[in-house]
Amino acid sequence: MMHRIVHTTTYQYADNAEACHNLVHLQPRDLPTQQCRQTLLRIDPAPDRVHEYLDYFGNHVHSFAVYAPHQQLTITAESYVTLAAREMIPVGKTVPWEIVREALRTDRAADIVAAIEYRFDSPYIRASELLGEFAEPYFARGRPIGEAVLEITQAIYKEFKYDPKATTIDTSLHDVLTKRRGVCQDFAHLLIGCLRSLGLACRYVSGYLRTDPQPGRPRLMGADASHAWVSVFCPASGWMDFDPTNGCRTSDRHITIGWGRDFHDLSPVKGVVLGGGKSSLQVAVDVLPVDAIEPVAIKVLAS
Amino acid sequence: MAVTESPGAPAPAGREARSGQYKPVPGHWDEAIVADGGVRAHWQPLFTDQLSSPQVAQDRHDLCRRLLKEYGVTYNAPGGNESEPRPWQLDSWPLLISADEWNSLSWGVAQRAQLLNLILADIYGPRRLLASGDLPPEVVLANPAFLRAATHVVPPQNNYLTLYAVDVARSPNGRWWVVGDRTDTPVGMGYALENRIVLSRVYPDLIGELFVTRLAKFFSGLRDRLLALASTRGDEPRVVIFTPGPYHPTHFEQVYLARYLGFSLVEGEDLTVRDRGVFLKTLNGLMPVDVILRCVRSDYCDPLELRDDSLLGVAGLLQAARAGKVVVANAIGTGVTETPALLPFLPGLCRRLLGEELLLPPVATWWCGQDEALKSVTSKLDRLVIKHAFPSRDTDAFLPGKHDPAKLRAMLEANPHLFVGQEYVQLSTAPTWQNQQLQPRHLMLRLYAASTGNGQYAVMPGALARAGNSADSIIMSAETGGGSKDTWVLGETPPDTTTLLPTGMRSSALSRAGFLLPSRLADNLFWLGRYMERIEFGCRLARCVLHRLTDETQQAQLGGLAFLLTAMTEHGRVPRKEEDEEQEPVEPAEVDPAEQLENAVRVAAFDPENSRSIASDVNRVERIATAVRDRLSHDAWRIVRALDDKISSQTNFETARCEDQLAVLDEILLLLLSFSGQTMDGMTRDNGWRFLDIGRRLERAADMSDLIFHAMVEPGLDESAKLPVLLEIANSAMTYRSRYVFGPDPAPVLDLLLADESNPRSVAFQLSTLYQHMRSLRVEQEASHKGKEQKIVHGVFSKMRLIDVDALAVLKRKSRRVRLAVLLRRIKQSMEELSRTLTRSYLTHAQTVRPMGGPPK
Repeated sequence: MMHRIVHTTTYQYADNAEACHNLVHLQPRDLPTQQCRQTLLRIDPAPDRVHEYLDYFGNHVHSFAVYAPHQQLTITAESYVTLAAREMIPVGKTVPWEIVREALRTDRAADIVAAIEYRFDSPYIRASELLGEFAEPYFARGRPIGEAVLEITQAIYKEFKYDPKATTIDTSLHDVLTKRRGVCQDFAHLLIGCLRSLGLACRYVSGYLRTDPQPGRPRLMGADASHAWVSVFCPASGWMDFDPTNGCRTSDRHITIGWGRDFHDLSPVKGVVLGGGKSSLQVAVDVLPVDAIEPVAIKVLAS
Repeated sequence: MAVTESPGAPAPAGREARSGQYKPVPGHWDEAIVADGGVRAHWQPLFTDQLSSPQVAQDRHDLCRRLLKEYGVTYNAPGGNESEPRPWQLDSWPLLISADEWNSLSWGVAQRAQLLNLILADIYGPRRLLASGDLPPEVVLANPAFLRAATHVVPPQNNYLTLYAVDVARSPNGRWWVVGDRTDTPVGMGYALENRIVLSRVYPDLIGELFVTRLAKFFSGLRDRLLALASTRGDEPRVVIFTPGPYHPTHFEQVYLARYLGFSLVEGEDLTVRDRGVFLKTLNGLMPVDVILRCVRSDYCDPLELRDDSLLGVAGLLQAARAGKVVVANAIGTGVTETPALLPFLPGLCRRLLGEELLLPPVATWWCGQDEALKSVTSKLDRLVIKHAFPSRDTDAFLPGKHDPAKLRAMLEANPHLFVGQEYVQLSTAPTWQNQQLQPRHLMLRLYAASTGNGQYAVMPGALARAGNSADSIIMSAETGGGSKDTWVLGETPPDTTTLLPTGMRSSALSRAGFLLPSRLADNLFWLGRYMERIEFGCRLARCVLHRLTDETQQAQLGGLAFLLTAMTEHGRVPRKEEDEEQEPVEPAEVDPAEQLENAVRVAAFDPENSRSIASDVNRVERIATAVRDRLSHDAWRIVRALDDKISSQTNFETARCEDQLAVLDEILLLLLSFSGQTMDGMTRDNGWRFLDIGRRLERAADMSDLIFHAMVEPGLDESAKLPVLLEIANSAMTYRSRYVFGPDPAPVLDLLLADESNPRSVAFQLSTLYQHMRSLRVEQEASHKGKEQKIVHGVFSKMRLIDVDALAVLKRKSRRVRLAVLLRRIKQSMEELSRTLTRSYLTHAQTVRPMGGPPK
C-alpha cells in the first residue's frame, strides 16, 4: 500500500533570527517491507544548498543553513512510501530472553557485534536498578523474549497516560516512571531503558503512524505528529518492533524513518539558531493512503 | 625493555657532590639519589652548583618565582569563571634525564603515538579490530567519547592524532610505566615550554654546560606540520588555535602557544560555517580557515551534531570536516582512546598493527568487561585502584583500602564493563626546593609527541613533570596545588639553536595579522582603550585634588576645586548620595568642603565597591586584557598586571594617608604612560591598534568636554582659581605657561583645550584623530550603517573647526556660556552615538547560538 506523508515543521521567532543551521531526518529509509519512492523537501526561506548523506546508523540526513534574517522557518517534507505486509514471527516462538542476554555478553558473531552498541547507555537513556525492577516481573526465567517484551509493552500502554503536557525532552526516565505520563518518545525511551537494564539491546525507531479511524474503535495516538517506538534485538529472528504508546507490535501502519540509540541520534528536525528571541514551534503530520504519486507540477500550483 | 636497567649510576667515589640534608622517601625510586645516599652521576653538576653556598638555591628559587609572576603564568581553577587565576607553580630544581634513558623513553612514546593513531583510524574507519576480536567492542561502543557523528570524517593521511601526550611514572625498580594516554586535547606542552624559558633564565650557564636539549625544534616541527595539513589549500593557509576561552583552566597555555607558533587564537563565536567551509569573522569580512588546532573538548565542538548545550562550539564544524574543507587537529572524537580499558589490549594491538612489541608497558590494568579480568580484580580489591573505564560524572577513583570491598564487588558485578582495576604505582621522588630546603616529592611525567606526517611522530625532548604537594602526596594536578618541574634531557653534544621566539612568525604571517582581527577582539581592544583612558583621566583628577589638599600653599585655592565634586558625581565616578527624606538636611556649614572633596576622591579612586572607581576600571582592564592577551605585547601585559597589583594594594583606602595615595596615583600614571607608549610605539598600525586608539580618543574627547563643561559653562566668581585646575588635569599647564605670560584667561584656555589640534589633550586633537581612523578602517561592510560613523565624526569635527573661541568665552544670560554649553553637549552626544554605531557596524557580537527544535509528541 502506498502512503503520502506530509510533515511540516514551522518555527516562529519574535525577533529576526540571523541564521540557522539544521539537520533533518525526514526521509524514510528503505527496508525489506518498506520502500520510499520519493521525498521532496521544501524549505522557506530557501537555503543556499541542501546536503544529503547517510548518518552513522544508515539513516537519510538532509542538512542546510539559512543566512538571511527571518522570523519564520518552514520545513515541509513530502514522501511517498509503499509498505508490504510483513511476516510476523509469533512472539511465543522466540528464544528465551536470557539466551539473547548471554549472546550479547559473550558471543562475538558479526550480527551481535553490530547490535551491541544498542545495549549500552546513550545520551538520553541510562540503565538503572529502578528500571530493571520495573521490567523484572515480565521476564520470568526462560520466557520467550518476544512474549516478555510484548507484555511489558502492553503494561506501559495500560499503566501510563498519554499526556503531551506532562513532559519535555529533558524529563528523566525516572520522572516518567513516577508520573506515569508522557508521549511516545518517553514511552519508547522508558521501554528501551527497562530492556537495556536487563542486558538486552534495543533501538529507538522514529517514524509515522497511519490511523484508520473506524466507528466504535479508538483513534490511535500519534497520528498528528511524528511517532516513535522500539526495536528489540533477537539473534535468530532479527529486530522485532514494539509500540509502547499503543501497546502492540508494529504493523503495516507503522512507517519507519530510521533508528538510533535514542531520540538524540535522530530527532526529525534539529538545529541551532542565532538570535530570534522568543520562539514557537508547530508540527503537522498527515499520513494518507494514496493510489499513486501525485505529479509535482500540480502540487506547486496547489501550494 | 631497555628503558631503565641502570638509569644513572652513582658518581665515582671521591668527586661526589654532597646531597646536603636531602633524604629520599624509603621504598621509592629517587631520581637523584641512589639507595646508599650518593648522588647519581648526571645530577652531580646540579647539586654542586645549587649547594655551592647556602644562599644560591634560595636565590634561584626566588628568581624563579619572580619570573613566573612577571610573565603572568597562570592556571585557572576549573569550573569557576569568576575566581582569580592561580599562579603557576614551578620548582626551581629541574628534573634531569640522561641521554641514554631518554632515548629509550622517547622511542616508546613515538611508538605509542603511532599505535594509537592506527587504532583511531580503525575505530573511526573500517573497525576491523572490533570484528576480529582484538579490541572488545564495548571498549569503543559503550564509550561516550566514541562520537558516532565523527565516523565519516577522514583526516589527511589518516592523521587522527597531531598531538599526543602520555603520563608515565617510575616504579621502585626503576622502570617507567604508562599511567594514561591523552589523545583528545593533550594539554601542558605550553607550560613545559614556559617552564623551560623561565629556568633558562634561572640557570643561564648550567643549561648550556649540560647540553640540555632544546624544545624549539619540536615546536617548529609542529608548526610545519599544521601548515602541511593545509598544503593543498593554496599558498597562504590559515591555521587557527581553537580555544574554549579565557576561563578555561589552561587558557594561558593556549595564548602562549598561539603566540609562539604564530597562529590566531579564536573562540567558537569567532568562527562560522558557510556552505561547509569554516570562516573566521573579521573586520574585513569572512576569511576561510584551513586548519584548526583544537583545544576544545571533542564533544563540545559542534552544537549541531554533538552536545547541543555547548556554547563553545561551531555549528556545522563536523560537516565542514566531513566535506574535507577544514582539517581539525586532533580530529574530533580522538578522546575515545583515553580510556584505561584500552590499556590491557595495547600489547596485542601493537603486535597486530605494527608487528612490534610494545616498548612502554602500561601499569597492570584489567578491564572488568571480561569474566576472567573481573575475577582477577575482585580477588584483589585490597591492592588495586578501581577506576571508571569511561568519562563519568563521578570522576573519583576508588583507592585500595578506602572502600567496603563488598560494595565495590557489587558495583563491579552490576556493570563490569564500566570499570577497570589498576595496580597501584609507587611513584618515584625527585628533589624539590620547599621551605628553604631540598625535599623529596612524588613525580609523574607527561611526555608529548607531534605528528611529522605519514604516521610518524617526533617526541618533545623534555616533559611536564608534575610533583605532589607534600612528601606523602601522590596527587598530581595543578588543581590541588601540586607543582611542576622543568625536565632537562641531557645531551652529549651541544644542542642546535633553533628558537621560535625572536624570529617565530614568518613575514607573511606578520603582514596578515592586521587583516585577521576577529570582531570579538576588536571589540575588546576598543573597550580596553576606553577604560585605560578613563583610568588615566580619573588619576589626573584625583591627583590634582589630593595634591592641593596636602600642599599648604595651595589651601587658599580650594574654591577652585569645588566644581570637581559636581563633575565626578555627574560622571558617576562618585555615587550619588541616596536622598533620605526623613533625615534633617545637613547644614552646609557643618560640612568641611575640603574633607568632603577628599572623601569623594578616595571613593572615586580606590573604592572597589564603587563600580565606576579607578579600582573597578582596573579590574575591567585586567579582564579584557586577559581575553586579548595574544594581541598584547609581553610588556603591555606586564603593565596591566602591575596596575592591578598597585590598585589592589590600596585596601584601607578610607584611612590611608593622602601622601601615600598620591604616591600610588603617581605610580599608576607612570604605568599608564608606559602602556600608551607601548601601544603608540610598539603596536603595528593595524585595525587592532586602531580600535584601541579609537576607544581612547573617544573617551578622552568625552571626558574633556565634560570637564570643560563643569569648569567653564557657569564659571561663577572663582573662575581664575578653576582654570589652573582645569589646565593641570588636562596636562596642559606647561604649554599654557609657555604661550602666555599672564595667568589663565578663559579664551586662551578654551583655545588650548578645545580647538588647538596640535595639543594631544585637546578635544579637537581627538576628533581629528578619530576622523583619520574612520577613513582608515578598511572594512568591507554590507550593512546599511556603512559610513555612518564617518558622518558622525565629520559632522562634529567640522563644527569644531568653525568655532570662534573668543565668542564662546563670552558670558551670556545668567553668567552662562550658552554656546559653549551647546557645543560641549553636542560633542559628548556625538561620542556616545559613535560608540553605538561602531558597535553596530563592526563589533556586534553574534548572539549566542542556541538549540532549536523539540521532541515528537
